[in-house]
Amino acid sequence: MNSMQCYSPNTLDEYQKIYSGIAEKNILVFSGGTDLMIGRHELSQDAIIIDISGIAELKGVEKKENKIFIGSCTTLNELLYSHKIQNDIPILIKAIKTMASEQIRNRATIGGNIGNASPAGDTITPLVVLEASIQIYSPESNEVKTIPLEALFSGPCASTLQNGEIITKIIIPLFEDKDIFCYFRKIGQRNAMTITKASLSAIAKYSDSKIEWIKLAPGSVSPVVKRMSKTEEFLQGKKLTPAVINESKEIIGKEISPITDIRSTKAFRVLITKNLLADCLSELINRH
Amino acid sequence: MNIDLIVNGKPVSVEVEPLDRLLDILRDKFDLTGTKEGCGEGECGACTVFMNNKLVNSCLVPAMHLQNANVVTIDGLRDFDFFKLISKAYEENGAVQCGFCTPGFVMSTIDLLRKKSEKSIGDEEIKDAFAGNICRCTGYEKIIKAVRQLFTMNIKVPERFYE
Ligand SMILES: Cc1cc2nc3c(=O)[nH]c(=O)nc-3n(C[C@H](O)[C@H](O)[C@H](O)COP(=O)(O)OP(=O)(O)OC[C@H]3O[C@@H](n4cnc5c(N)ncnc54)[C@H](O)[C@@H]3O)c2cc1C
Ligand code: FES
Ligand code: FES
Repeated sequence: MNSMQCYSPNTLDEYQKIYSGIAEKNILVFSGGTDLMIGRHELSQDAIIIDISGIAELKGVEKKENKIFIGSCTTLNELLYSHKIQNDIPILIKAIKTMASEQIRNRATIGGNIGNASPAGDTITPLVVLEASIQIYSPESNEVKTIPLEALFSGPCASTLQNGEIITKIIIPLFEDKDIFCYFRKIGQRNAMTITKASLSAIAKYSDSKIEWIKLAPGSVSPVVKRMSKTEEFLQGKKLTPAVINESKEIIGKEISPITDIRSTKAFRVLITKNLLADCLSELINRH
Repeated sequence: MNIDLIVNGKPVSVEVEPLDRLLDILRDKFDLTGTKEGCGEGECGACTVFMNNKLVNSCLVPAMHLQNANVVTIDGLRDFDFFKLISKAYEENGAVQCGFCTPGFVMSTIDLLRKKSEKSIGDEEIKDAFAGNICRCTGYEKIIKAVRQLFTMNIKVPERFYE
């Protein structure tokens, strides 16, 4: 491997200065490296690495005005052991517990999971049902903008981030109502350390034996993670009878657009997504 | 680039490329060959070490993250009393066959022992702790048995090493 240029700024200010000094804006943002190290031999030799993992402003969890702010360079294990996240965002804990291993979770960051933009990224579906937004810092304009997380993804493993732009924070609005049902389940090759073949994140409010509202985001079954608005609308206000559950399975089966790849076939992904929805709804009934 | 770090308690300085792997630095520059390369992709755990007191895959740690880091490898833990007890429990339970995965499993075992003070542990918890370690010989049952035994022994593992 030839010598690659690399910078390790400690502040966003330094990041901006480094960025301004680079003529060819061929920048590779590097965080925990658990995705990037695996493909390190395929990285362009003239890419300029900017390692953001040492930027203190990008680390940690903060609660302000009924919102949780997560720094993008916070590791998955830091989130798993954060009391704020445990109490306020249990669905994210459920998802992170299924991710990788202790070794990986000590290094992998939430910003990297989002930045990778994989439809199998396990933090993405919980954040999408929570209607999270992300802050993006542009070193070009030296400004921060906030966009809905869903708007970041433009295709499988493709994001709308411009060269040099980095995700700085993930912002999650909290519910006043603490009685919210949440569900995360993923199906892979095996239980531990598995890449998602299909998954489902859901949050819902259930009262008087009816679904007041439900938000659904399946993983690995569309080019980008998105909400299942047709299925959500269908379920809204309904009693969960066997007929309603069956019909909702048909609707979600049509709403997703999975592909066949090395991990699974399209038909199997449709089947598991339908069954995950049925599992989620029966858990919802049993909880109440 | 030149980096300064601490490996098994010794301050060292080494010339590296930014994306060189910690695994290669340990094995090739410091001859710490107890740490193994299995998959090179974060799956098998044979390369597991402590970095800043956290369990990591050394095959995924780039050199540029090592400035001032504190790295502890299996070779640096051999002389501790708890290590001898772990090694004995692995041997007695037949948890070592070809032995290639063993350094990684032992590192994960150490991490588990120092995090949990209770005297008993459920199999699910042991399996979770080993999610990042693969063994192709033993079928895992013998390793799990060794760990269960270790938990009954009230072993003292320090919270930090060489700090
Ligand atoms: C063995 C193994 C098991 C895994 N298991 C899972 C799993 O179960 N579920 C799952 O979802 N993932 C899994 N992963 C994938 C990976 O660990 C996660 O995607 C991780 O969160 C990536 O974070 P990172 O900090 O390591 O990212 P990096 O490798 O540093 O970066 C990943 C990508 O994101 C970009 N990026 C990083 N930070 C930012 C930022 N702040 N702003 C903009 N772009 C950014 C980088 O440019 C790069 O394109 C696994 C990986 C391995 C090796
Ligand atoms: S060699 Fe590092 S995890 Fe397999
Ligand atoms: S003993 Fe051979 S791989 Fe585990």
